[in-house]
Amino acid sequence: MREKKVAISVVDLVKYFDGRKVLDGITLDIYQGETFVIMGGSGCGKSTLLRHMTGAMRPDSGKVFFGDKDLTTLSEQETENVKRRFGMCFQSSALLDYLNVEENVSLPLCEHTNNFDPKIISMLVKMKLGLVGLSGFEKLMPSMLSGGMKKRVGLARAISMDPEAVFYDEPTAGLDPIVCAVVDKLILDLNKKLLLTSIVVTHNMESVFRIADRVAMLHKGRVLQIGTPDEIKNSKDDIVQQFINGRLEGPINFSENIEDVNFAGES
Amino acid sequence: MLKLLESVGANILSWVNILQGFLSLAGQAFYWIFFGFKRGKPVKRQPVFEQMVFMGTRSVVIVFFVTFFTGVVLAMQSAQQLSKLGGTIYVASLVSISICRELGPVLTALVIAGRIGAAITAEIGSMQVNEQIEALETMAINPVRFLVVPKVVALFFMLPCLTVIGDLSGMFGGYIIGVGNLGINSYLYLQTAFEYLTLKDVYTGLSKSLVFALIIALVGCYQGLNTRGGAVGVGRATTISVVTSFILIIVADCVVTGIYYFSNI
Repeated sequence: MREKKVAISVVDLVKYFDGRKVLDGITLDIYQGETFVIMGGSGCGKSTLLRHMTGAMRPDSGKVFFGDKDLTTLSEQETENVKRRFGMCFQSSALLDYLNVEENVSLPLCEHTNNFDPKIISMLVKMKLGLVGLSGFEKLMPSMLSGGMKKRVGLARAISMDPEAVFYDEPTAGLDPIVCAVVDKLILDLNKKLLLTSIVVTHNMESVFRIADRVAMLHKGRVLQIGTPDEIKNSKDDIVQQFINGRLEGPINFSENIEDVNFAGES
Repeated sequence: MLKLLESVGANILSWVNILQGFLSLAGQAFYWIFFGFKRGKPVKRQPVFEQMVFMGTRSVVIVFFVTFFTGVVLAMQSAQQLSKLGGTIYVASLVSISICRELGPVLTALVIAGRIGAAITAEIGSMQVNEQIEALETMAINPVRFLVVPKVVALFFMLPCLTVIGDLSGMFGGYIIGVGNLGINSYLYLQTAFEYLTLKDVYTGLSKSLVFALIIALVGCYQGLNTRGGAVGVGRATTISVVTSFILIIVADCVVTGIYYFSNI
């Protein structure tokens, strides 16, 4: 097997919210070109971990490497340069609602390029929208789109700068099973066509096993297990088994302790 | 006693925090306005013009009504008193001076704080709670440069323009009463109105409106960017934004008037 290159590397990441440890020494490597899924129960710190990887939060200790750049020590200008190398697809799509689909998708292009010919930008937008299967939707406003379409527009925006990696925050949350499958297929397609590294945060088990090359299971701010979907399925760990099978009985107590709930990190 | 001190301390600390955040936002906004071009990101004209239309052109009617009727009321009230002294004609200069120096700029600013300040906070606030601000940051688009700067620049230019309109319509209100009701000759009214009105009266008023514009835009943006907690949070931030703007406008009015009063500029 050929040597895999590490795209993103998280080393011993620790983050406190109001004195409570939300991330407790997380270490993981994500390889170039793979689809890496981070799963775990609500409030286990997976969204917080994602926000550290995108540079939106700074850790209390530990490092996050994107390529060879350490996101935790870069200056504002350097962080901006790194941010242009990845895209992010938000849970709520986070499209700017006063701009139409075309303007939303072209926003990063217009902001980061000086005097790009509008014709080229419009062509690039058409191409990206074509990739997510939304050709002809350029002039619609986000409020006119369904949840699944918004997700796909958000995805088109995430890939508009030809990124090396795309982060997905709960890409299938709140979508019906068929649209879920469509979005999953899209993630896989883009992964292959654009040679992307995809990092997906989700707790939708079906999509986990549909798209993942490797899976990390998070529990209470720690990495419980990292492995291929098969390894996770056959895991001996009770917590993992309870989680992937959605069982009520098991080591995870459903009546949560107020101290264990991560209020600040999860929306 | 200790608890009292603790709560006083905590309050002071939170005020210091707010002030710090506000000043840092103002600093960033000015940085992007004056030095943005150094980083290849000068202020873009199109969003500024869009904001100017929204803030300026579409506020003309409401500013007209508020200042016009204030002029009318001012003329009626002062006519009653001045007629006792036999100086009804001075209604003209009283209205024009008090409108230009004080009421025009302040009333226009208060109206705009209600209309535009609230809109700014609600817009940026709902973007904040819907992850849109975070999305901008993730796309390496600075929210201050992208959202705050056009609003600050647009209002800085539009509020003085609206104030001029407010001044004129207030004086027009006084004119209607003076000529229509008090029977003052139209020419005489206008002559008296402008005879005592000096250029200083106008520019003190306009200089105030520049300060008010910064207050409204920056407070609106600050509250919007610091919105937390869904729809309720947006409502709360909007209320705080308008109330803070109102108070700061009156305080700034007092300060600027004081500066002119004591320095005899």
